[in-house]
Amino acid sequence: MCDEDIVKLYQLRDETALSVTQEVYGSYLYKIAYNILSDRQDSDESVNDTYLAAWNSIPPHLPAVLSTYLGKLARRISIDRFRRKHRQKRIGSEYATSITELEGILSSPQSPEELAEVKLLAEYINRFLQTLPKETRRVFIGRYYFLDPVKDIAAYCGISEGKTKTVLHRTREKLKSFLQKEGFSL
Amino acid sequence: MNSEHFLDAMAYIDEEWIEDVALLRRNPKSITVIWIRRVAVIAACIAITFVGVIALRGIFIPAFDGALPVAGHTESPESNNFCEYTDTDDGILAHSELCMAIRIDTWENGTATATVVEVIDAESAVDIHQSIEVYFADIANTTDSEESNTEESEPESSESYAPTEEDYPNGSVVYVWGKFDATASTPTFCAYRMSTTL
Repeated sequence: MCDEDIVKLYQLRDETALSVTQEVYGSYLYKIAYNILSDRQDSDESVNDTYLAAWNSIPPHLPAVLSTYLGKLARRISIDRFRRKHRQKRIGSEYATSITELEGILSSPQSPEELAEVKLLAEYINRFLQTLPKETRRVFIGRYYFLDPVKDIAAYCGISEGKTKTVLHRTREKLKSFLQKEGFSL
Repeated sequence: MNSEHFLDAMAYIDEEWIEDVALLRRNPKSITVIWIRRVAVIAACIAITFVGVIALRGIFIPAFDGALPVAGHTESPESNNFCEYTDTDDGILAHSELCMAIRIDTWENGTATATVVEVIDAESAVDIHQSIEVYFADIANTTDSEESNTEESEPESSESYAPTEEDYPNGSVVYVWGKFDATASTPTFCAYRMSTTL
């Protein structure tokens, strides 16, 4: 069943939309959740929350690419869950590892003003990503959007783990100087 | 800002890129395909290099080829040390560098203006239908008459002679063996043998 048909089921408030979504995108969403949470039960719950969020948001929202929309929901829900559960203690998930990696370039303490800058930051990240070669951009998005392990990124990009790590390191350094140039306080 | 904000901001990146990576995650690049591509690229590079070398040889080697000394050669009177050849027992020259079928257009002072009909057994810089000057520096006498139309006869003599318009009138198609004169400004062929048959 294609995305359009699934979205139609949501629009018609047909509950089979949920089972079809689970069938088509279940493992995809679970992977995103597990990368963040590193816990099977938490990941399952996040995925279920994602289905519910999709049910509540479609309509009025009509996603053009359902997988991307669901992926975003799953990511946000999983991150929220992670933060709620591990506010004090970071567990060894890919999400936690990504945060540790990024602390090298973004080390200032959190503040309300900076929270307001997230969307602005997203704009600059988009600009930065535009400057990257396709392969580098894929590696970067794989790591910091999908929060995939380096090994997995290397596998689906068809490059070695060593190269993947090198690409990530260089891109982080480039990002750091790009954001500094644009006036972000890091 | 801290790193959590960064990961939050990543949620707002261009959806097209997200979809691109999502697609890649679903259909990873096959290692086999990657290696096949790499091998293909290497093979293509080798092939290009090979063709390049052959092409350069085609451009440069003929220019020097005629100037190389050959044992027992006879120099062409018109071209400095160019039209070398080696006589053999049967009167046929040992190194037939280039064989062409030509149609004789005109004769003048022992030199024929001819049109290339076919290049038989060697690569050449000339094209079919191209007009060339042909001089016969020292022709081994292996001709057979067009009237008899027989197989190539045994040489009657090892002596050389220069054919004339009487031997091969205008319009006749003959085979010539020899080399292009690299020193001439126009396409000029120094023939050391000619025959109406191959």
